[in-house]
Amino acid sequence: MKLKNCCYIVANELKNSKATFSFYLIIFVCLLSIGTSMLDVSFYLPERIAASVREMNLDWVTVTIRNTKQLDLITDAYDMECLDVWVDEFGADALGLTPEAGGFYFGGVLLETVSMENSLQKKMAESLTEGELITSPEHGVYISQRLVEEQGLALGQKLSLWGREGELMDSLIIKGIYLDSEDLNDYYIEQGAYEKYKERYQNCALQIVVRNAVFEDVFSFVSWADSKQIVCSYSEDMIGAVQMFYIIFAAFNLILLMALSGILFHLLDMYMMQRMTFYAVGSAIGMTVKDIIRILFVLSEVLINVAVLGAGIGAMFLLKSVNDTAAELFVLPSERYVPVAALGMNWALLQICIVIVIVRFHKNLKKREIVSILRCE
Amino acid sequence: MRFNQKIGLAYYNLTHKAKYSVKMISSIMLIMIIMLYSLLLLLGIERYYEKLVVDNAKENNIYLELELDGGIRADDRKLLEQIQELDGVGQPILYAAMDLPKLTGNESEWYLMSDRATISYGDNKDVLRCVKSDVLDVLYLGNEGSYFMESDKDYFAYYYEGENLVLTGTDAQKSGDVVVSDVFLEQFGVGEYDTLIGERISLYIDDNLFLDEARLVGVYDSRVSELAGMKYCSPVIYCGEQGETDSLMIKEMSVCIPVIGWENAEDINQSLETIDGNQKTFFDEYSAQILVYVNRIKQLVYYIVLLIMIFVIVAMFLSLCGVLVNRIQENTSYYAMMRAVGLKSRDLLGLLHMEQLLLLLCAVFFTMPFAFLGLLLVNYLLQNVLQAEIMLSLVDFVRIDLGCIGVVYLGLIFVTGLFSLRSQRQQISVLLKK
Repeated sequence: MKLKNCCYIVANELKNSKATFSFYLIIFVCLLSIGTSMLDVSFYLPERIAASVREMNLDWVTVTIRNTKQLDLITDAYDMECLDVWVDEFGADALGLTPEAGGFYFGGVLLETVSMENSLQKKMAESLTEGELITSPEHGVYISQRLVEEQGLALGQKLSLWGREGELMDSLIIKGIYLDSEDLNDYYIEQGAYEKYKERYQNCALQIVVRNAVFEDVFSFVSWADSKQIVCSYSEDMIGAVQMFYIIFAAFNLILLMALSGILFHLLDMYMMQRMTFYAVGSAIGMTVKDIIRILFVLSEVLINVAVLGAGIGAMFLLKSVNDTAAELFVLPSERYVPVAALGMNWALLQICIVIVIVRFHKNLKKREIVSILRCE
Repeated sequence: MRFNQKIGLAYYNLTHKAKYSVKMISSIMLIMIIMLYSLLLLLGIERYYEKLVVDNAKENNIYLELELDGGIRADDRKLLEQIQELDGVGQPILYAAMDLPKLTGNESEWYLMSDRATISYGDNKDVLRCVKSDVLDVLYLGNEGSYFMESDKDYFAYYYEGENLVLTGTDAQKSGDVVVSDVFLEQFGVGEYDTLIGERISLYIDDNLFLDEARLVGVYDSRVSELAGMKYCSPVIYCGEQGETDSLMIKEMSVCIPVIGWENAEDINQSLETIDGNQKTFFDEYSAQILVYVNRIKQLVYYIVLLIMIFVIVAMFLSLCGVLVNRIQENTSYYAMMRAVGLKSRDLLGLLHMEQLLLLLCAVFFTMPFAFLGLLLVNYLLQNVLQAEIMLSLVDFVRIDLGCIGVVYLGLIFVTGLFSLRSQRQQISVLLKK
């Protein structure tokens, strides 16, 4: 049978069973619209939300490091950024200072040889109002404006670093004064001074605030750190909620794709069983099985492609609605677009379903006698 | 037609139209699985968020430490007033733990035991003596109102499944009132708390009067202090008179100002910075920020799941309708013949409903393992991914299951009724000719 004749039969079929095919189309468009929009949402929305979480600095992980081997282990496994470094026991006493009533001082370490992107050093360089980041044989300390105001300290002045038992550990020169910031501690001593301190107190741990270069890595990083017995603390609620978002989308996409292919399979199968007699008559007057399969294929393709077009428009509106809600909640830009990639993926999935149905129908057709089909047996 | 005959005939129809039955069962299964998974997931998220809120609400407060100097200092009072003027903050609670050893002239001791105390109550001054000794501790409440905030009560009710934090009486206090814990009364051999409510009680330590004629207004559940992160709860909470702090040797007082809602946490933090540069006040803006974010994620997930449910269920029901219509059309002659041999329309409708019920029960039977898997998955998500230490129970599962079954059954009955009534309006002879 020529393709032209095949198309003619398909056109006739569509014309004569308008109600049935419209009914199928509504179902397909409904499922495809939601399937496509959700697939697209799962491609882009979690990333956008993760970016917004990142912007708010809620994706940090504080790692307790007792030796530099642990730090190397982390940087070998993950691409990280170092946001801050502090030591629990570096308070006011460590520098021999007395804070104002009810106040505290927190001290950190300015790591120079950290094997990850050192944002702390960059931030410090940007915040310095006096002095500069210099490496000299004499160990130094960088202090905040608050310390200058409350303690009357000045650039170039010397401070002492005291041990836990009150012994003098090192002498530190004030190398820089920086602007107060929520992200920075009250003072930072240089790495050399910290190492000297650690020679005496080996259990003195560094608390390093890190951030994964890729947000999604944070989920695997925390479980990896746990398996390597690296103590870390992080915002479990926040990270858990974003992770939940990813999982929910994956789960729903799976359910949707299952439903989509299930329904398509079901409807095509139903149509073919309904029209079995018609095709049997066709066979009786000389139509080959190949011809019937070709007609069915063209018919399915017409249906699917029209449904995909409709779903493209439907998905565009659905996506707009989801993006508007997300934009309202997370202050994200809202756009309207046709989800081409997701539509393409769904189209490919439907093609596989068509092939399966046609193969099944082919087997069925070959197995049965024309007479038995005509007698509705 | 009798009920058992209907069941028998429905069973016969379904087993002899196996293809139709399989299609119907698979369609119903798909609808039910999608509904069940969506609802289980939504319930899981709801429970997770509820726990987050309850856990964090009790800490959504502004804290402030006041140094007393014959009362609240003028600058502290001004600061307190400025905080109270902020939008979205509640009534402050001022409190301080009393130094009982110092107050009773026993400075060398760290604490006092309740066996050194006696209580007298009522007009007859009946005396209660300690029968089970424990550490005696009294909390001074510096303002009228309740020491326990609504968030504390919610937190208690959440972990003790709807129980009340205040066992009897009231938690609100006026000057000269006192609230005690159940365990404290038990230490003095009182099991029936109600009898003492409203009575004026006096507390003697080493036979010296400590609290004079304080009115007992309520008894609270001492299990509250076992809850993690709960604020300090003394067995005796006494609401003091104005200017009593000096005589009670209270030098410092803590202030807790509840913040209402989460959304304005950032504004409150900024205002606090402007008011005192966060020097004296403490407010955990970070927790509030996280909760706001989690709530937004929850809202978005709800919206998306709702969209999915609507679209998928509409599509599935349409598909189910297709199968049903086909079935009814195919069996027109069969139903017409049944009517011709004397079956009433009502019985025919009953038969169709019975068929749908049997199909639904069959689908429910096959859906249950998948649904249970859904429950395990949601619980795994809650336990391992979100580490929320909560689980959906079998009661939740059954409740959701029954709801889904009910909705699907009603849908089936509606569709069947709609199509069968249409064909029943036609004459039997017309139907038999088809």
